[in-house]
Amino acid sequence: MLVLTRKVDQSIMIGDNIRIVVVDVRGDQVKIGIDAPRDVLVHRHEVYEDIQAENQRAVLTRQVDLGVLERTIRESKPHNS
Amino acid sequence: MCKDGVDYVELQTKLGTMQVDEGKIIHFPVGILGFSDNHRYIIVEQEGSAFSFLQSVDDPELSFVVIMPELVCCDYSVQLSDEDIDLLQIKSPEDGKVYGIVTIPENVAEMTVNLQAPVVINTKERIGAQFIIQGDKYHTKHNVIAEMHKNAYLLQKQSEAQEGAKIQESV
Repeated sequence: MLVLTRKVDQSIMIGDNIRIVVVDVRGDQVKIGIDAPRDVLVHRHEVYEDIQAENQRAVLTRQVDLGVLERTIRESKPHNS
Repeated sequence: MCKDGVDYVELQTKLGTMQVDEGKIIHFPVGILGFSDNHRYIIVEQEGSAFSFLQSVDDPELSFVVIMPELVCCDYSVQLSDEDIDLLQIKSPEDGKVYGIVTIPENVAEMTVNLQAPVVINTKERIGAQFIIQGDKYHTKHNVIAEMHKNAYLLQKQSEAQEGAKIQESV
């Protein structure tokens, strides 16, 4: 991994279109600003991983009857939930 | 493939063989997170169901079940940034339709919906994207049934079912 040292208000370019700015440093927290094209997704890593994992789990691995889902909801009791 | 002047794509999916009208394909410039190679999807609705399928056109094996989040969580709303609106080319709020991806475990009653990362589709331009809502109000696993029990949708469905039962009794 490339490691660079930067001061507050200094930035890093990634390719031609992505700029990362160190906005503020307080204790062990760093505030980072990101300028990126709109089709480049920018997310906190742990959030990104969480969503990606949930998407993977949501992929249908078997045939699902939407009617069965509807029925399951209709027949459910509030105290079961 | 062309039928009645409409171009169709034939897909062998988990939902069966599908003839997809090319004009109904929704383009996902960024893709669903974790599936960035898939850029074309269709929404397959089923009449009378709160659920729909989000089916990839690029990979027939890839399908999701989705639901309109407001049916699960009645005060649900998505605030898009200017960049998001640009990406979807949304001109007015009515153009946007929001879906939550549903995860269906072995026990169907434990199905959950991801309200933290909704899929938003510009129905006019047929452009879609999955967004992540900032903050901790929503997460990736809202129990659909538990949430619906807090919601008028279920009460309505139940009263409809009771209504149906009454009619059947009286026949």
